[in-house]
Amino acid sequence: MASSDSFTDKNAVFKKLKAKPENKMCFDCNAKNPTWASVTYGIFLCIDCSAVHRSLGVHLSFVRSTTLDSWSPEQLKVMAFGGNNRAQAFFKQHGWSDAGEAKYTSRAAELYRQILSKEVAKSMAEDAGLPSSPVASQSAQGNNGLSDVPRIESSDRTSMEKQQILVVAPSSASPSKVPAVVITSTVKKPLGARKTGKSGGLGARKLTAKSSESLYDQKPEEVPVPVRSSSNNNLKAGGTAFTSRFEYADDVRPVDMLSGSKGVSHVSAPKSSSFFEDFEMDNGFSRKGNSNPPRVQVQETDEARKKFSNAKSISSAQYFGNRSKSTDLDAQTSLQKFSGSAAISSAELFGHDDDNSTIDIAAGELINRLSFQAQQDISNLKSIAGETSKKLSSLASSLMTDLQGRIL
Amino acid sequence: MGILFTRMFSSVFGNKEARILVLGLDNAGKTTILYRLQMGEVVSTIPTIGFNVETVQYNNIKFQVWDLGGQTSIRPYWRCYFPNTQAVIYVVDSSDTDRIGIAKEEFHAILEEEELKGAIVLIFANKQDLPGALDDAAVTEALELHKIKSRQWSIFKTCAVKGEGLYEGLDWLSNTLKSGGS
Repeated sequence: MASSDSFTDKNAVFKKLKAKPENKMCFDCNAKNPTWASVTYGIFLCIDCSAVHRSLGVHLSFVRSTTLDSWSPEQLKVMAFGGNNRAQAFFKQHGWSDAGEAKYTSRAAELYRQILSKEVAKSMAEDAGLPSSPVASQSAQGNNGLSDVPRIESSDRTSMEKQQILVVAPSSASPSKVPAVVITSTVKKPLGARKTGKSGGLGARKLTAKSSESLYDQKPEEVPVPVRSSSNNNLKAGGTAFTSRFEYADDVRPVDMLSGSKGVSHVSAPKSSSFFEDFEMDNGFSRKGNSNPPRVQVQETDEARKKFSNAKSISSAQYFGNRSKSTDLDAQTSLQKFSGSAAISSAELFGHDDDNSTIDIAAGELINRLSFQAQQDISNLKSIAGETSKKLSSLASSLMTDLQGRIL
Repeated sequence: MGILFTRMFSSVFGNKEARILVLGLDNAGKTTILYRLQMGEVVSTIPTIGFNVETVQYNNIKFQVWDLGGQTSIRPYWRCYFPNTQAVIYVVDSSDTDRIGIAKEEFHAILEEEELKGAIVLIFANKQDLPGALDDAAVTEALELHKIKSRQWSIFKTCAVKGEGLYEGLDWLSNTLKSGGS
């Protein structure tokens, strides 16, 4: 049973997928019992062939270990939708012969990548509660010319849609609620987790999150059924579980990087009053995210790039000239000071050392002053002593003369 | 004082040693960089399960370089290698824009480790040859390097398969280590 909540459990999904004979061999070299996979094509690979795929770059093939890596539901779905057989069939149909690495740079490969990611995006969108017409999803599959799509998927999808419809009705009546609160069906886990990912500006919260070991091990099903006002912990857990390449836009992007970009409206989508608007926005964005991945560049803070556009490297020394500034804002403004100066030595980093030395200087000065004062005092004392001795001697001499005068 | 003396002594005789960790997400290029530095050639690597350790002599410093596997579930074991580390080389796949956020999370998690408080940080914005690779400034922004105030860092654009930028990075590393910065 490929019920949708099973996509939160990596081990269950892979157990099921690897039960198929097609997936018991490496897609590239037919080695037995592959434990690696290319998420991009939904194929299973042995470790040696995974190395080849890794060297292609993530734009061509994104490799994960089925045992050592964490998988998002979306990635797992790609594996379920894909599989070695389907990829093989597609490549054969599009005139691919064993051409080594070239096969993954071919047009057919690109086409297959797109088809898979589109399908998964659609499926995820359906999971997220958008009641899309089953006709559309069927036709999408039909267009691929691929007959061996797992049948469970489609049957499951319709059952999911039923559940979605159930869900949508009450939540649209109360627009302020996030659908996750309402759902009690089997869809709730991925859906709920996904919605937490979207709602409440998770990116911003993630910034404050101290990642710990437990982050890596968390599975999506550990996410409690999320409520809008759920604690940071819940959000963190959800976010970690979904830090995947397909959902990066939801959680891995720090909000301040995205200020003014599409991502902001993405994150803040649930604030809008209508439930349907939320979902339309969400889906629009998730699809966009899949179709044009390099969204990172969108309007980040540009200082570093402006400053160091021609630099070969950037060092802490160059970045922070002025150590006396402490806050980030100050650091950023201090950056601007460097725009004029061409060379900033790392010595400037040791501003705090200078601080220490100025303290030393101050201390030295103090000592100097003290000793000077003391010297002055001593000389004063001396002079006073001298004066008194003079007085005494003059007194004595006058006394003597007096005595002498009297005696004489 | 004793440390100072040892440092002076070893800088005179040029047998300074440094323990370096190479960290980063899976498939960032850590192993390729390690062997590029050690052997000067590109080796074909398979995913590192566990670690590789090699000694690299450069600028009179003997770098003991530990390259640790980057898969999600073995990242928690990085901390076993943290003690007595003078420097961390953090490798980022600049073309993997989807996961640069995760790279940032991991990076800042490392920086918060008590045992790495004294370590200087060298960042390699690797895979500059690939299409869509972020440059060093973009990676600086994405990793939020401006938030690192308490230690020295430097970022270099690298391409491990071409060997570009690696030795510039090692130059910075050795100079910074020699100047006793931490």
